[in-house]
Amino acid sequence: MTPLLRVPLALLAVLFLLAISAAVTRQLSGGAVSLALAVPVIVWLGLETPVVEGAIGAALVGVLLDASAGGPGGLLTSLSVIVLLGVRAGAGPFDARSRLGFALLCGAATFLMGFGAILLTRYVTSSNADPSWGLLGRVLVESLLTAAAAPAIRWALDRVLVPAHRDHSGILR
Amino acid sequence: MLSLLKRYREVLLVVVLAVVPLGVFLAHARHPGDRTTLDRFVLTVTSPVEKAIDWTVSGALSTWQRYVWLRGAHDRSVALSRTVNELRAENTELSQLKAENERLERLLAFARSKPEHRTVGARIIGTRMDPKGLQLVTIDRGADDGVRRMMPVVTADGVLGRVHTLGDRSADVLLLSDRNSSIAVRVERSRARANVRGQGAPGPCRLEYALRSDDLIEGDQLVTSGTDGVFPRGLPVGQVTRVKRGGFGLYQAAEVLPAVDVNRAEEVAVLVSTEVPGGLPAARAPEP
Repeated sequence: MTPLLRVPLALLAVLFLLAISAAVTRQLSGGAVSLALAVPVIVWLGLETPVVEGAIGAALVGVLLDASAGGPGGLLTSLSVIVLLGVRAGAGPFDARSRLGFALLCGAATFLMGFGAILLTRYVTSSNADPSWGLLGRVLVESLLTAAAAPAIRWALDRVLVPAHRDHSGILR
Repeated sequence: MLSLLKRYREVLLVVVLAVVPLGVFLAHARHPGDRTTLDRFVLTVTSPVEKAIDWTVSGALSTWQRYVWLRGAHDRSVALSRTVNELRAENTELSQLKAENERLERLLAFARSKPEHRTVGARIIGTRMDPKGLQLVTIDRGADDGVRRMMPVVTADGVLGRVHTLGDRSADVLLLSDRNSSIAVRVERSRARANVRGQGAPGPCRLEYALRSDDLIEGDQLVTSGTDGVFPRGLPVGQVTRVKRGGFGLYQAAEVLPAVDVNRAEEVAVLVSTEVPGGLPAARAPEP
């Protein structure tokens, strides 16, 4: 598989994971608690691909997330790229490719995306329609559940998408 | 300048990818519109997969809950079985109460249809229906309740018998199926007179002293004639089921199906205001 196919395959994986997230969320809790199974794909791109390819992939994943969420476009696209950069920056100090490290990164990335979405949405919407800060608790649970599922997703992505074997950590290397 | 762009093109690209969508969001977030074509495309692509997963997960969960995760199922089953048994017992009791209520209503209606007689309601509390002996039942009313010897005892269906022996709080009733019981009757259709005598066992009785010339056919209804000094006239006694008319003789015989099934009677009424003239009972009261 050439690196050019990696991003399209990642997008297909995201579509599949979005469907799983929606179905499992409804089955497990009736919608009270959600899963963000697409976030591990962004984290994987941040860890295993060059920065340009990863950023493009993350942006396209974000586009799918925006489309799936049905809200105003651009929010999750931008946050996906920011999360990717955050992963690249934060992966240096520890072994992010281990199961635990990957799970921690995915949990943190999910929380970051949720927090950022609430913050920006509160900023742009009127005061009587803005999302409550109480949603942070739900985001925290979502982060934990996503972190729990992340190692399995990484296992699958490693077999579908060929890693680029980045040897050097850092945002832009 | 160009070299600067070339040098930092990756940084610029990443910044553009992060910032431009944010700008788009900020520009459109205050005026959210309908779903875009891309939104609909994503939903179209993901919904079949979502449905398939939903179906699979639902099936797996259902299978798990129904066939694997049966913790506590035995206890629940035992508790439900106990509840079912209790409800069945309660249902049986209610059915019996309902049937009893219906019988009492019929008995009450029967008593009200005979306003000329004062009645005392009673319940059968014992039976002695030995085919070789007397056909007796015991009721829970006696002399203290105004019951006297030879008083007629009826149900809503008709004549059951007469009071035979008396106690203070109970009484024995000689059933019409007893051999010693004889009731003066009249054929309701033809008004012909005869007697109905028991045969010593619950079941058909015998019609006797019906004149050979009397009009008697199967299906005729028999009622008390009131001439025996025990039973007032008009009480149902039974129905003629088989007529035996021999080639000679003064009388014809017939078989009578009693109006009251003595085996099933439970609540009865004693006609206490019917006077029993001392020397006129048609039946010979047996010795207790």
